[in-house]
Amino acid sequence: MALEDYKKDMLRCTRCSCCKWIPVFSIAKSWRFAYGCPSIARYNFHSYSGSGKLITSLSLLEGRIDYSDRLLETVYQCTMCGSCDLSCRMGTNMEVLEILRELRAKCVNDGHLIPEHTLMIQNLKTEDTIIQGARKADRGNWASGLKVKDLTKEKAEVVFHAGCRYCSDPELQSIARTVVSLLQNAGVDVGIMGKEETCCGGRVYEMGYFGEFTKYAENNIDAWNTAGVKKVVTACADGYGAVKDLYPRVGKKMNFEVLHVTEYLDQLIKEGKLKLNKKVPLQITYHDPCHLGRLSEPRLPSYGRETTIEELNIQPLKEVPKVLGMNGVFEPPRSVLRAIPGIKLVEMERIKAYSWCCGAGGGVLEAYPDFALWTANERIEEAKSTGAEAIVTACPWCERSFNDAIRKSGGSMKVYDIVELVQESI
Amino acid sequence: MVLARNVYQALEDIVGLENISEEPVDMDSYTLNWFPELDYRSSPSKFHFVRPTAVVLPGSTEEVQSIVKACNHYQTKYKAFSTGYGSHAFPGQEGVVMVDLRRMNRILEIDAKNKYAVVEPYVSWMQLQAEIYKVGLATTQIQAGSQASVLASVTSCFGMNILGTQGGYNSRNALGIEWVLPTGELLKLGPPDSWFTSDGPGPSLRGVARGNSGALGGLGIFTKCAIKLHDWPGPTRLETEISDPPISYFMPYRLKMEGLELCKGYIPVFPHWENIIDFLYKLVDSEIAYALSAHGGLERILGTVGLGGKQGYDFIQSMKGMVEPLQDQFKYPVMLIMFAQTQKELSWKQMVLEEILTETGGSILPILEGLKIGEFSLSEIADSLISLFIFGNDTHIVHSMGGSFLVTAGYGGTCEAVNRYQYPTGEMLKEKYTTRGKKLLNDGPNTLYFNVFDNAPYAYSEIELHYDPADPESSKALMEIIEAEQKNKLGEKYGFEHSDITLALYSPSADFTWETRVKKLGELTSSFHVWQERIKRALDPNDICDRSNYGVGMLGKELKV
Amino acid sequence: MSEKEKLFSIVGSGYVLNNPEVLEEYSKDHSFTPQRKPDLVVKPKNPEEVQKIVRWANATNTPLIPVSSGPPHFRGDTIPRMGGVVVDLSRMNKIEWINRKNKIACVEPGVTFAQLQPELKKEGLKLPAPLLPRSTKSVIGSFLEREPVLTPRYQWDVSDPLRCVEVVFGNGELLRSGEASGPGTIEQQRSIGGAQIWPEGPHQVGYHRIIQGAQGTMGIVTWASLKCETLPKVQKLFFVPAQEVESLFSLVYRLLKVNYGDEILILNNLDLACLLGSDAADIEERSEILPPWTLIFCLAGYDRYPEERVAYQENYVKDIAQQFGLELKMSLPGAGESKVLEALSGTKDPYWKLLPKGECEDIFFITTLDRTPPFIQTMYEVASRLSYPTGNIGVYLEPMVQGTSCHCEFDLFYEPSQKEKVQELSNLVSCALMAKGAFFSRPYGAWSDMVYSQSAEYTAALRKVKGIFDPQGVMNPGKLCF
Repeated sequence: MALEDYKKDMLRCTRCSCCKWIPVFSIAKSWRFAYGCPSIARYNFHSYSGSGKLITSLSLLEGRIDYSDRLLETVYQCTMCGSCDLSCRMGTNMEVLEILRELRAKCVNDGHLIPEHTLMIQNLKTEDTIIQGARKADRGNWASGLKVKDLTKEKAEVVFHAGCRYCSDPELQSIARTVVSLLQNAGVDVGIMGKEETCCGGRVYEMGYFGEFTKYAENNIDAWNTAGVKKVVTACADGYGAVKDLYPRVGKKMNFEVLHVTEYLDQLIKEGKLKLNKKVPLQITYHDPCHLGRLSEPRLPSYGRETTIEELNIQPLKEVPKVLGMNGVFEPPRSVLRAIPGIKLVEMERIKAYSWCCGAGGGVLEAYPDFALWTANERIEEAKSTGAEAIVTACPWCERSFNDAIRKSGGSMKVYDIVELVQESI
Repeated sequence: MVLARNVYQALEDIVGLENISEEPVDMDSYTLNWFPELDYRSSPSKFHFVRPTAVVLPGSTEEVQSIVKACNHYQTKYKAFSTGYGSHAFPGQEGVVMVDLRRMNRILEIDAKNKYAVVEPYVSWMQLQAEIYKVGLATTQIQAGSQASVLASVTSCFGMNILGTQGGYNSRNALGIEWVLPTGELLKLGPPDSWFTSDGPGPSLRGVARGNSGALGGLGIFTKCAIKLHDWPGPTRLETEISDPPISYFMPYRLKMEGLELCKGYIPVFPHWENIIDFLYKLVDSEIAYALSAHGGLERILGTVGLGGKQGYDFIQSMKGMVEPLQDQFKYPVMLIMFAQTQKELSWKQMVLEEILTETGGSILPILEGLKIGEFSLSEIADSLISLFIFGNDTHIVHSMGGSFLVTAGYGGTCEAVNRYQYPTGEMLKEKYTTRGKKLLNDGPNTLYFNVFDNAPYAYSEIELHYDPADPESSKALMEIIEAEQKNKLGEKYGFEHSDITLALYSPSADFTWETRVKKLGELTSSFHVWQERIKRALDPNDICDRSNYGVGMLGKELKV
Repeated sequence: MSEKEKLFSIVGSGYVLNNPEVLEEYSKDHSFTPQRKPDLVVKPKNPEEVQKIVRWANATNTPLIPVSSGPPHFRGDTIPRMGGVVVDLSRMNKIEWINRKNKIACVEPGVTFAQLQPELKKEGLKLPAPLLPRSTKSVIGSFLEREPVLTPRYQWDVSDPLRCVEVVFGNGELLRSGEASGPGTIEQQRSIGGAQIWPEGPHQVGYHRIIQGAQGTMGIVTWASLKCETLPKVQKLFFVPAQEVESLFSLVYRLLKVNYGDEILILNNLDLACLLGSDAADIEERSEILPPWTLIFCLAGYDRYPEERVAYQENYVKDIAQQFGLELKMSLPGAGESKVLEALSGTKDPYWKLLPKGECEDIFFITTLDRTPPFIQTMYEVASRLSYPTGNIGVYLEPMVQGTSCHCEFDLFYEPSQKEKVQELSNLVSCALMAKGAFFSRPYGAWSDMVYSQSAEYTAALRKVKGIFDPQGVMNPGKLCF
């Protein structure tokens, strides 16, 4: 489990630059919205692209270059959205995202840290949350006054995991409350961990802190297993992606199913347990969060393990299935939106597996807020191009990023979480 | 090699602090590329044998001019760069400033009536194609892929492509060109305020700018160009949907065929390549093809297992019993797209195709009838997959086979001469090298790739050879095979207008460098290398623009002209 | 040995001409270029002789003026501006090879359209050709001049149908371009299936482009391969009359977009009448009954199901024409299908432009079809200002390079006594047209000063290139910007 494991993939990079764009076979719809990678689109030097970071990895391993401020910028001015991985692997089987993750882990292990990330880790260690300044003691405050089971004391079928952002972001806390309300409305036996809820660890994995991640992953798995819940439901795409894709890596048995709230709502609506009757007349566009989309399909890293198909002489074959993220959670949110009377859904050009990132991930929101803003603005521009009045998504990090961008630019586009529109239609 | 501080400052003053770098991490990202491991100067390293000394990112023609003039003033070498895919895009000597044109990425004009578009260097094929579909037009593919620069293909590189049947060889699609000469003057080829032509007044200097291949960065920097477009009878926007397994293991997307009802894809197969030659002549005479290519036989599908990963491999294994008996039948396929304005036209074309196939012993995948995958029969999705492959224009999937690939025997000439040499040569090379223990992908005897241009009987063809760049033995095997084939070609073969795809790329050994190959060819071919050195010296008297891939490169300095 | 004797030894004494009548013939043409006699005329027979002549010219600093077409000439490019020796290539008149399979014809520079077209027909081929050339017009000469061809859809590049060339450059070196460059001789190349069809290169230079448009200032072409097309088995000509030329554009653009139609051209009544008329009176009569503007296009079927091919195209075009409010006719009063077809595929003597009044000055440039109306307007305005009857102006619009540009031509028919006036008109209107954006890509005579004085960078670059291919400046000095 080290960067060296992927050296062969690095050696197979041909610098074709496909990683900069949306996957070729998804067929660009315009000049304006053809890029997939925010880093290269913003910073232009090839070192910022997926290929660039593969090259940096190889350069480091071969001792051609050493750490520098610039190197860290190229490594960390990246939301880890996985667009490069998808685009590359549409035509190869190189595990670009795994290499980016291992590169960060190497930076961390070699002691080359980003100050803002260090602060996040410190906060995490002391307060079990990555939100700067948030305290563990306050984690459950979002649910004040809400009549919902406390899973530290009671049992329930379903745990709603709010996540660090929903717990601590005053503007977004209402969405977490709405989720609980909707689930209860549908007759779901749901509880929360309150202040005992901890970070999912997903963000810190992306930042290269594998050890911290493992701790939190194991802790959460234990907590949910112990709580005896059958389902873990979250409204945070990051959390969802972490549990679906990353938690299996720690090797602990998970005695529960994980669902994003949009998947669950979709089920509940189809089962007739939630009735959406009120019209919500709004022209919207839907933003696929990376971790609900291409980064939610579980994949196992190969750690470089491959064989050769003898009869072909030298055909490398990775020992793990090839997963692109094409089977992420794309349809359920759309199905939910289509079920809301009055909603008119107009798609952006970069959607589903090749959605453009909101800018918040990978530690960028904290360490490079300008870049996060820039990335979010790009997405808002794309949303505006559809004629939509509002951009709707299913992740608090996306919502934070979009809200910040619109506020700063003085725009009028509204930002909604899907659950808000569902609630309006009840 | 470190740039002198005053030179660095001069360049920074032109482009701004954010747009210049000499940081090692950035420089190495302009060093690794497709095939340094096949060049004796870098092999087995994946890193090119020289690093650029700095990279600058100009945002306008004026900045490009200023950079070039500054480089001339300070005697600092430079080389233009955009989507750069292959060693030829990179500097061939120390001390070169890479002028990365990434920020110059606008589509300046689309004149739908007169069928041309004007682009800056970093407009990719996919971007231009997306915009011109909206006005019913298409552009030739760039064989380097959707992500490659349109301007680079038209002005500076090659030009072979699957859509060449309709769209031509890309060097012939250049209209107006804006050119910063090696000394920094700005030259507009064509009228000063329009882009519909680049020829004149009087002799066309487009002939100096490029020939069969472009100058590969050796004669200044092209900052804008107009490209001739052709008809697109399809929808204004192409949509894709996700394929079902097992197709999705290999190609996750499938093209939606709405709006493409008058577009048909075919894979006729032939008993022998002689039949293909016959077919090609009859086909181009009839003018029914919109796109045409060949990509080797059925065994190549086995080679795509890299694309499909473990699931793909398992699927192919499960199909082997059915597929193996068909291998001979599918040894010589061709891929063909026909497109029409009306159903009557399509019916006429289909009638003609049927007649030609009968005459030439070809047949269209009879075994596909009835084969079902998911809810579609394979023949129904064949149109979609073929069309996606062609209109999606993804070359990098070819790297999935073995890990990477390169080509030998890149030739342009008549359909007959080209294929009569290529098919047997490819089979011989495969037999000699891949089935006898050399570490090259054994993807069958026929891995020929060819295009035909202008619905005329002239073609370009390559033999693809797949290797694993992660395995030095594999790289070495490829270097040997290419060197052997190139020596063979130079010694004996007549008349091929070498497309230079294999000439310009790398040097497999110190005894057989790229420069010596070009020089040897020049001596056999009207001494073109001498003419090119004369042009180089006339236009670049200070020898500042990196000459490594122009003419005979560094050897040119020694030539008596 | 005198210099003249050296030339005797190269071409043979019978082919070095200096009698005054002969020199007088080469000293002038129908253009406004001032008369000037050459010192000698030589007529080589093969490229070796040409090479020796060029080397001799370098050694003696003697201008050479290559001429491939027979008279009458019209552009002034064959008149020696500074004396020198005319290299008349008419003896090099071999049709070297016609290959149906690859649709290639290889010819020497003295081969004319009248000579080549019937031979191609025998092989089931035709050559994209300019509009009704004279019988003495050299095929290579025409394509070196980049004369527009009638079939824009077969012109993928402005250099088409020219493919490979064999050229003796001004420094005496011989080069073959494209596939012909080798390795191997032409015969060796053909022995393995080659046909000198790939036009580009060798390597990173497009030599054929440097030679085209050069008016013989870079070198002398001694052989070329030409891309031919299949001779149609069925041809159906259509006429679309119009009062305003703009009303035809939508249909033309559609034809060009969908690649239907072989010959496509727009003529005004006078030019169409001149093409078809037998004499001045006949021309006048036709001109009066023909519509002001006519689009002529031809749908064709070839070897396979030709009628069906024409039928589906005709169906489509008729629908489109109707949408644009246009009517397709099979003939017009004053213009029948067969006569027009003949005009579009053959040669004619005397040259049709001399028929109405005895002389003609043509003003032509490149633009795009949709930009032609303001140029037409300018032509008429300036003509009116100089009291030149606009009824004497023929207009010919020819889409080029698959419709990406358009050759716009004004034919000023005049009596010889009007020469000065027409010269004044030509100069005035050319300046006016250029000021409006007309691109004089083929700058003959007075146009060269006009054009090159406006493009300093291009001129400077071109002179550098000239210095490479003709370092001593022996090739046709005084032309272009040299």
